[in-house]
Amino acid sequence: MPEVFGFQNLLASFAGVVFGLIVGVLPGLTVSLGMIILLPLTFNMSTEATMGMLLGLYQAGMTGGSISAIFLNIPGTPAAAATLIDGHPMAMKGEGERAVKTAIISSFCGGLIGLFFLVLISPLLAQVALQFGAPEQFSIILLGLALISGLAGKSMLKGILAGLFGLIIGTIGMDPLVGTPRFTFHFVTLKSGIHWLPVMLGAFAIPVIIEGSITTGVRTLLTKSIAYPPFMWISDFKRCLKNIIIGGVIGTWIGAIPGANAPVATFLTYDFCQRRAKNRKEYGTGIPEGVAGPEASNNAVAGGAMIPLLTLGIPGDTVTAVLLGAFVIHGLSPGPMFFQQHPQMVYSIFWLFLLAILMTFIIVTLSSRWLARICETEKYLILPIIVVLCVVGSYVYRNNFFDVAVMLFFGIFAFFMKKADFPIVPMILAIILGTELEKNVRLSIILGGGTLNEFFSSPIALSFLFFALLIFISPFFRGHTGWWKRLMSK
Amino acid sequence: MKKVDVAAGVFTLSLSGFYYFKITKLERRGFTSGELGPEVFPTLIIVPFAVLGGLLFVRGLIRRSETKEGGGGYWGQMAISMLSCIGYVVLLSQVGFLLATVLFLVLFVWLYGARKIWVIAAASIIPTAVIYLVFWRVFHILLP
Repeated sequence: MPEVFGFQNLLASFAGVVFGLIVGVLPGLTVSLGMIILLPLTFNMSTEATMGMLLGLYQAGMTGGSISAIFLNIPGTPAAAATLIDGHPMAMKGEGERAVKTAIISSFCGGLIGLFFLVLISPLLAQVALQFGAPEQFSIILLGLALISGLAGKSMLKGILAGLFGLIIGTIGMDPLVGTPRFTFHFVTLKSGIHWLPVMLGAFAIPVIIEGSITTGVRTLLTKSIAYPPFMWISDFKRCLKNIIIGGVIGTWIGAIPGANAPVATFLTYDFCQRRAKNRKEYGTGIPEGVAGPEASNNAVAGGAMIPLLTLGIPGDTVTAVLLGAFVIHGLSPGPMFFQQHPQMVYSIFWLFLLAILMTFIIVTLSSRWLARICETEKYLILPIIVVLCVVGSYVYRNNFFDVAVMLFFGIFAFFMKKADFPIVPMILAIILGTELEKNVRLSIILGGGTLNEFFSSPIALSFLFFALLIFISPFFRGHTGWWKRLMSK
Repeated sequence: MKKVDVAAGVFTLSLSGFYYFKITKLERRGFTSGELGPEVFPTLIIVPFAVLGGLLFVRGLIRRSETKEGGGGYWGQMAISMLSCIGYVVLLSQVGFLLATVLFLVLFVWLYGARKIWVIAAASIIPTAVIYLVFWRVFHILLP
């Protein structure tokens, strides 16, 4: 342990955390991109220092995304998209600092829960995650999409339509199994599809710009942040504890499943917390519980994603794929024998993970009051910068102007969607998950010889499908609110 | 009649029709009729999309309009914001990030109410320089 906390490792972890915060806050830059940028710098570093830097970036990137989500209504990372549902309304009513502090504490606890599972039950969880084939993948994604109806706000009909529209957008480009171009209108740029990142940037940020331009007589975009009393975090923590635990468990579980990703975990958590809350109607209006669950979840994903990487050598997402690359560069190959062959390294990683969580917590806590000053910034300063960040964020992802045009188009489209009371989140989630959903349903049917047998022979897939169905029909059983009434309600 | 829902219903039904037309034109080279081709998943999506769009359209027709419909006197400001954003992207592709962003920020900051020259100058030049330098020096990404 003392070697792990050596000066070089501490410095590397600090640099990773600071860099991760910048990556998290800036829209368009993802944690995986940040890691790719840092990776060449680690060639001459020790393995421990490399892991310290990359894990610091991972944790801080997940936390940093919530800051722009809360203050600017732009999720800095896709994992922070669920945070803005309650985080931004909190900032709008002057509780920006409270929202950030809730996010920091929840992220910290979520990270610890992820680490707890990583240390204690990683081999067991990894075995369960290994059983996830195409039918299980399909059913868990479908469950995520069924939650769309839960996030749909006032009208389930409009929520489902928004989700289906997202799936339609997701089919543009090459067919995920056989590579046939679909709905490309002979444009080469459309062959790679419409990426969710510019859509997400535009859909969340541009309506804020347009609405900001029509609210006259208001100097600041957000209400000046009310000072957060020193001990209020204790009562907020008690209030949010259940959601933090739920978020931590769901985040770890989803993170451990290769292919499932942080946005799925955060939306699953948000929906689960909302459904079981007594004050479920207050969700979406700006309450700390709505921030706590998703934030705990997205940081717990980091711990969960490390489980199949370390125990099976399977990277579940792009971030862990880059981490695997870092291991290989340093002459290590994670897998079933990793725990036996390099026990020292395994425990170093656990300690470095803890260091990353602690360092993120300290640095973000120290800077939160300063970050809350964003609320006091004049509207004429902050709105144009949001536009510039969105344009730059959508350009740098693939270095083309087509993505910038996509960002603008979906931004304006989302503005009209909001005016017509259509929720935006289901559309975004469907674009993110659409390709995987299609790939897995087709693979499952092919594996079943053209039948649905694969779904019925898997208890895991069946249980997920059952829950998806339950979510869709749950309003039918909810008191006097009938399914039809909810479907047709405004 | 609730015009917003009727309009959304018409949009949904029109999109469904167009999308279905494009599905029928998809290339199925190498697939026999019983196999899962590239048209299967789009067909699975478009059926509920069209049905629910029709439902929204009917609901819009039978529901009463609400007073907030009809917008307000802000369409001009909205149009200016949208056109400024579009203009910025067009300018960016033509003259590059530095010049386009400074010009855009000068216009936008002024439109949003800043009148002091030094405020406009600082609010347009400093963010442009900071964003450019961060992406160039820290992330090694050269903006256009």
